[in-house]
Amino acid sequence: MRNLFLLIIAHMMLVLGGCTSSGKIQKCFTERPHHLYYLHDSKVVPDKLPVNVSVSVSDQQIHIPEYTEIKRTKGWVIPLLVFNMWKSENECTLGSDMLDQNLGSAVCHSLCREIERSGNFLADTLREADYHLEVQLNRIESSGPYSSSGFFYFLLFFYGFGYSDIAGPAISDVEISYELRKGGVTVLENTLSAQIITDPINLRVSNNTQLIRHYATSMTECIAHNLKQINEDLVGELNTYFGYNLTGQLN
Amino acid sequence: MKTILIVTLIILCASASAQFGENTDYKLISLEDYVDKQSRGRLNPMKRYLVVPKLFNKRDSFDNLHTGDPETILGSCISLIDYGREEDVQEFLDKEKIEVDLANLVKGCRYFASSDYAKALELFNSCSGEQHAFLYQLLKADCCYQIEKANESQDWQMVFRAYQHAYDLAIDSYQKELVKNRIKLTRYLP
Repeated sequence: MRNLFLLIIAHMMLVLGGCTSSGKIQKCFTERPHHLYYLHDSKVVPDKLPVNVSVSVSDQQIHIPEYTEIKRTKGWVIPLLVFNMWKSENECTLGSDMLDQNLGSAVCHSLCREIERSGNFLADTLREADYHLEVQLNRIESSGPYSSSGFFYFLLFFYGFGYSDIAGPAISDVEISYELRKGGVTVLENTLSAQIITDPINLRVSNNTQLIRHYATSMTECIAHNLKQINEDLVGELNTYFGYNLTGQLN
Repeated sequence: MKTILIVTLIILCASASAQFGENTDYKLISLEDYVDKQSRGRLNPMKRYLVVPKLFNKRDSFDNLHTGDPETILGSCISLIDYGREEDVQEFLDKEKIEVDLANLVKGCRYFASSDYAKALELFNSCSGEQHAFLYQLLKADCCYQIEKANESQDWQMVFRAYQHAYDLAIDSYQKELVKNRIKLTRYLP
């Protein structure tokens, strides 16, 4: 009787140990901060118009959770003695604790780099510039599912098992508003947004820690790509504005 | 018998972990193999690939050293470094008069293969030619990354700028993908 009890306990531990816990996902997500850097590939504009724009980015009213949240949405186990199955589903939502830099300064830095590269005007951090560009970060969201399933069976000296973890697809959403001012008067304003949906990741890795880390990285990567898209759109709109107002030509 | 088995296992393990000379952080691969693996989806996204235009076996490497073609010389020297024949490469560089840029690139690769990133960076910094511009710029960025990784202050912006420079020099999609993967790993590993 005692042996049977021990066997059942060992069994339960084996079955439950096969599941990827939400605590483990949380730990892998937040164990190291991720950068929001991206590679710029827009066309370089070497000739700049003689106009300076100072840039400031505010993240005061941004909608982003402070902490990364992993919520179990579904989970079941069939703990039969000869055949066992399990499945769990988690919803992962990225929080600001996963990001390395201060969001405002990270966006400001990437925007200034984009202006230096593809803008037909000059970016200036000084307040005495001709124009002032005020950017408000409205929303930075990135979330997606992580599911884990598996089975284990044995019959006397025969046994078999299989498991699979699938991460994603994650949806990443970024929205900003901007105002371009000259002498305190708003001359241009708009709201820009970008969204990316990742492909599900089902890497053949030796342990699922690597898969979870890869998933966390791809979620941050999506935010970086959305920022890239928004920065390019923003600089494009400013290029058109300055091109038209200062040279009378639409770029 | 037991000793032979242990020695064999050690040799097998050592050769399995070494990727470029003694450097285990980078996997040396020829452009042809890289493109082939990429098309078959066999590249490991968690690996940093060091892609060179050509690679040769040991015998061909010695034969190809005197062809006069810079790409073949580079491939031969890097292959020999990978086989642990650094002294032969140094002897070749001392005897033959080859372009300064190419010589510095090869010497830099020698240090890179032994994970001496500071010395390698010094040599890559002295390269200025256009022929292997992408390769030495990517190697420079890799050296910056490895130095910063070991450094307490860790100036990642400097590393990202170096990769951006390499990306701007990329002329085809494989080179662009290579840099994108470096950024992914830099974002993921620190």
